[in-house]
Amino acid sequence: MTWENYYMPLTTGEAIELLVEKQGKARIIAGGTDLMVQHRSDPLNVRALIDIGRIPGLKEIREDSRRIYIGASVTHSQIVNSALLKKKGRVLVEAARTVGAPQIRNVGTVGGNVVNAQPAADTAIALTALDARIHILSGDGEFEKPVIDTFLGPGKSCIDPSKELVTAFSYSIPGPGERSCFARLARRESLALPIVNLGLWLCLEEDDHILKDIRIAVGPMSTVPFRARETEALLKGVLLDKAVIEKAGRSISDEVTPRDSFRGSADFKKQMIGVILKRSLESALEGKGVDSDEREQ
Amino acid sequence: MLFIPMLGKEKALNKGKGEKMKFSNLGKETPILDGLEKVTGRARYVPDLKVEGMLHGRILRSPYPHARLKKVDISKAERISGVRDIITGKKVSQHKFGPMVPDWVILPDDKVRFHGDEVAAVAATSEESAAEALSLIEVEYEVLPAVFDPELAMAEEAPLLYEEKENNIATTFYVHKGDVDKALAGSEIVFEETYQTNQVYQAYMETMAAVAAPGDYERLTMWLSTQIPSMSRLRYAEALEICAEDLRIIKPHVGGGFGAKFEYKAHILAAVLARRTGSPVRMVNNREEDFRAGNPRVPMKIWIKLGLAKDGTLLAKDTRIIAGNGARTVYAPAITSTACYRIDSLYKFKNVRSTGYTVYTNTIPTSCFRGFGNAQMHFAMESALDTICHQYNLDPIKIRQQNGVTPGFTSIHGWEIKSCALKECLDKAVEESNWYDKKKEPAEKSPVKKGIGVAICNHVSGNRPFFKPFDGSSALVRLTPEGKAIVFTGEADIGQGMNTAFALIAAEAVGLDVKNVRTAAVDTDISPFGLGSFATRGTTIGGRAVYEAAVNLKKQLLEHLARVYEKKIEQITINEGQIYFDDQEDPITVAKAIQTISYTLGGTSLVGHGVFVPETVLPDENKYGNVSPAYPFGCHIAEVEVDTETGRARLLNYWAVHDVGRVINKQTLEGQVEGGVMMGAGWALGEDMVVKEGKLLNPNFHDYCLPTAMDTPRGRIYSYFLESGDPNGPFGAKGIGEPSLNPVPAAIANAVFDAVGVRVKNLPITPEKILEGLASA
Repeated sequence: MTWENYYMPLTTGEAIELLVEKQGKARIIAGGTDLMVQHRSDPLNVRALIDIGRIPGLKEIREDSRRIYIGASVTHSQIVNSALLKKKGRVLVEAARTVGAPQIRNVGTVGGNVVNAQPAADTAIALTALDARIHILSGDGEFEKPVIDTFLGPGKSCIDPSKELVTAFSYSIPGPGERSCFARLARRESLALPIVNLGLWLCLEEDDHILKDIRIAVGPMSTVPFRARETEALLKGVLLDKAVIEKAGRSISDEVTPRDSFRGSADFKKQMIGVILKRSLESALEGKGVDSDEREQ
Repeated sequence: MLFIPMLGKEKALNKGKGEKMKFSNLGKETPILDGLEKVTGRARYVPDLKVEGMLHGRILRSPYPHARLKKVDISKAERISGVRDIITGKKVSQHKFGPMVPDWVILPDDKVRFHGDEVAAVAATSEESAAEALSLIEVEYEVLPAVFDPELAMAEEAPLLYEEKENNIATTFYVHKGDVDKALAGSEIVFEETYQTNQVYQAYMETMAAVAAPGDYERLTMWLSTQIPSMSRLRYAEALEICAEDLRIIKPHVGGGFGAKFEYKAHILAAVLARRTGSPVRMVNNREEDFRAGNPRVPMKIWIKLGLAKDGTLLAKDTRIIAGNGARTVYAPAITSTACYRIDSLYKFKNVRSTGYTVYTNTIPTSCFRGFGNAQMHFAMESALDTICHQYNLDPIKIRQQNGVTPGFTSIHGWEIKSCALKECLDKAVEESNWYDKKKEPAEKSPVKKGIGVAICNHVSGNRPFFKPFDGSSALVRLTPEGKAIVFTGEADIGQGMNTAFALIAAEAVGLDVKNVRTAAVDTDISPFGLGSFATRGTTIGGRAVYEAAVNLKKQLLEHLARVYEKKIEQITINEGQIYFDDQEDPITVAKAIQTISYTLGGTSLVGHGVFVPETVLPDENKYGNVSPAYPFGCHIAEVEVDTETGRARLLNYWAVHDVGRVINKQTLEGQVEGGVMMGAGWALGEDMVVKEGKLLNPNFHDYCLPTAMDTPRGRIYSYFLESGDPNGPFGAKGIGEPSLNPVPAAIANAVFDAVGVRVKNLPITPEKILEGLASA
């Protein structure tokens, strides 16, 4: 271990003070499920780690009159078990449920998943589909921006964990006609990174299958979580029927530009993203989740 | 001590099947006796050991698949504080040895032959110092052309791994019985196909591990995570050029092996470093090393040609196998020969021919993995039969019943099938799975299709040619003055529950309560010689020796009871720890009686000694001869669903029916079957060691996708056990370890074909292959 001190502040203010004091030689640690693995192969060059797991406010899921807030150190398990999110954030619940295994979900946090900036991070894909905003605290004060704007490249986030602290994510409380769901394919049913994943949010005209609005977030289709805007445009204002759904599947396969990787060839990923978009649209119309596995993990 | 060897006598240890036998200890669900210490974490494995003054060993491994060692400079590494010794090929003896082919050296001084090959080894006072020293060893490599595919390695222009091995062929196996060409010419159905099985990793929980400690009298003690304590002792003595008696091997708890934990280079390096430094040395693979330089499954390309009569009678089998040996020989040649001919004793063949080449490549040395080549050939044979049935409208159940071996049959290779409930296994699996109803169900309308597939299997329970000098086992059962019995065996429980099976056998044979019986850890200073855990032999051969020892103990006990209590032997019955005299109302406990007896004999324990040497023979030059005292059989039926849009195949339900001879412990039997099925399913549906230019790309559990609990069947794995009562096994028992896996990949492949009409001939059955098959249909 390379660090000398391990701090456990009780407030965000204390955490920021420590970051400022250490002048870039300290960094934030949340669940550590990514950080500790990275540290073993590529040791962290810091003097201190600041563990935010004891800051009560960062572990809350709450709503106000307009938005839902998810604290940065909320774990995947907390999301999976949140009654509020089950009702008003299905895509996020379904995404969190697919991450790792129970042990990882009990420790790994949503903030860590986003800051780690992998192009197919499941909760990052879900938050992108929800058009969520990220709330950040630094020595200079508090600010917020769209989650999607934080991703700079594989493993690269604009958030500097030696200077800044993510406090929460937020998104608009879903209104009438809004639905969301999440889908992914992996080499096995648990404890696997996705071959492809997809977060879908859509808003239907009341009593109608006409799409008022739609957001499709997919990974790993680019260096960062990717919004399939061409396919979204194709679907906006259209009556969702079988033919349109088929067309949407073909459209997204053409739109994305994945790379060959260990988990699957580019062609395979293109084909699969079409399949899971089709299934997600069908499922969203039926008002059901898309995770076809009925077993609870 | 009385010593009554029961050399090869095929006594009727059981009544025939059909007759229900009353057992006090057998056939029940007995939790393994060391289960509590394992689940509470108290059980100690080799990596848990801490010996006073212990050094930490690490191995420098080659980053190239084939390279000449021009210079290995350890001068900087030696200066690291805490480093006690560094060995290279120049510092150690270059004599050759090896389990099958003498192509091993302690460390090479000329070249490295695979990415992961051992270049140097360090012993230091801490793991950190050892790691730092490794990073400072400067090696100058001259990279050589390398070859990775066994078939390409046989080509004239391929680079040679060993100059003296032409075409990189390590060994060739050939067998021909009957007249295959004539039989094929006379066959109404002739089928020909090529199948490929990939390289997979055993994924035992405890990685390869050793602690070697110099002891008194110039002896060396080694705590090993091993399946073969006694055999590795012989081999390591040869490697270290010492007398085997000066080597003491202790096998504590072992966290799985599945075939991988035979002779291993890191064990020897720990011993060399310990002898040179005079300090204990610990050598434990990290997971990546274990992937890169373990002993994974032998990959095979199998060409098979079958001839049948119109009615489905098998007339001829012709096979040619090219098997990957990796960069040095562990047990691949024996595995190739097994693939060539073991399955010939599953069916009533009259004409068989097989050629198998075991070929060097610049990849990880390959070795035993549950199934030992028979699993690879089962995939080919059982897939082929399924295709034939489909093409010629034959019933896949009936063709197996029609051709399968039966009790009393002697196979074409002279294998004597004494007990065999193969036909009954098929019947039971068909009945339980509702096979014929499911076959009639119309195809699903949704993109997800269901399918069902069958495969049968055979195996051995002991394999005479594996260790040339002998097959057999011996055991001691000691009854202490406190009334507890301890079984001493050299056979290695590596997690299968064999020690519990031995305790049950001893308890049953003597008439004790199993809670007063345990099996001692193997220690070659104390335990009898035991060949070890392989060839599904433990319960059958090791267990029979334990049975003989228990019978011998009981005989002594009865004699002493008669003497001390002044009775006739015929008046005495022993059952569940109680001794009954026919002229006395109340029984006395064994504990009380043995104390009384013991005190008349200077406090001694009674020790029963048992030997079992099966009447097996080394096959002759045409591979004829009965190799195993008993042959287990089984039938598996897999039900899958295949998503035609994503190509994913998933298990829905699985029925595994096995002829195990006799159920010793139902709980561990079920464990073995469920484990074997899932291990086979992992292999069939996704596990794959992905090697590019000789480098393993997925040496970790993240990228090497073992099935998880979530990947088990959506329904369940149903296991059933039929008791054919083998005349050689203890109480009739036969083995289960390997047969539980053998038919799995074929049963799944056949089910996938039934679901979507796609025949995957090269493992694993990936979504890509299924989609490709669907696209070209």
